[in-house]
Amino acid sequence: MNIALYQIIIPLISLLFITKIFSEFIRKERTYRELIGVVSFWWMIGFFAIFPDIFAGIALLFGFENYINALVFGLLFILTYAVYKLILNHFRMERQMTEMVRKMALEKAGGSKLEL
Amino acid sequence: MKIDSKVKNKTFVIIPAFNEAKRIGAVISEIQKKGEYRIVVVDDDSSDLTIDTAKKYGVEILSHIINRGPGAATQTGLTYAYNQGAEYFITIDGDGQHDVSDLEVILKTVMDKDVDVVFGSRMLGGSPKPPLIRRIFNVIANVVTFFLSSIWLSDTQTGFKAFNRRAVSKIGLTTDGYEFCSEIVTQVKYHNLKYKEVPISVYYTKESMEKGQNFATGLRTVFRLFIMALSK
Repeated sequence: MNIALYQIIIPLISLLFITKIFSEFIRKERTYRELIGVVSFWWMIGFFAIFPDIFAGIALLFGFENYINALVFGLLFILTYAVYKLILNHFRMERQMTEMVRKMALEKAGGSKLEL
Repeated sequence: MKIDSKVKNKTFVIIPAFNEAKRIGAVISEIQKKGEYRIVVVDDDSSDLTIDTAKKYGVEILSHIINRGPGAATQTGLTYAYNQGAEYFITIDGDGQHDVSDLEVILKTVMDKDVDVVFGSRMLGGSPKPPLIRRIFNVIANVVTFFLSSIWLSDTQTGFKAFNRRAVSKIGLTTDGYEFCSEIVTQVKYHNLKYKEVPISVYYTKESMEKGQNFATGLRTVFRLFIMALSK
């Protein structure tokens, strides 16, 4: 069985990220949900790098002409989702800033509390 | 029916304002002529003399140290009035586009036991009608709001609204920009609040046309509403 270089490098990278997230989880810097999400993602990347034929088979099953198309589609999906999460984070930070500005305005106007 | 002065004392008129130094004085003065309303100006970090102008009229002033948008300013005003014990809350634009004589009609409507929120509609026969471009934006916003709330209103983006205390205690805004208008409608639906539209008059000047929603802010509003709907 011939092993390509990427079949070694990519699983190693996956292992690195999985180790990192476990370490962060143990230090209570990550939630259980984040741990599951990140481990599943990198496990899948590593697994398909080692067994590309399985990935090609799944791609065919989903109607992709070849696994490259499936890979591009998958990456685009992940990128879109990442952008969506970034926008949500941006909105959340904007909201936090607004709450701070509102709180200051209300306190200055006579110690009113922010919440109704 | 004449509105009792005790009711007017418990009614807060909230004016979110951003760079309205030239116009806000006339708006406050007109409201003061109508009775002893508690007037609250929420300055959204104006770079002109909005605060100084408002101070001359002896109204209550709150100021944001950073510009956060009309939704945030409105919410600050509502929270302040609620904490001050307001019974009725009226929001009105600071650019003078609304006819202050509609204020009593709106207040009388929200005083009705069967109404929690009143939307002053610029499209329901009040004269004159807004310019065509504003009406087009409004229809688009109405359609988007309908998809989000399943409530059809003729003017979802109106700044002239009234709430009773129950409504303000339930409505929790999470948006800062013009999308707050649509968010109020979705909250009305979510909390099963009773609402009514009343016709109001509107006067657009060249200056007021330069402010408010344009195509860019309209797109931004729709985008934010879309993300808001997705994230729920």
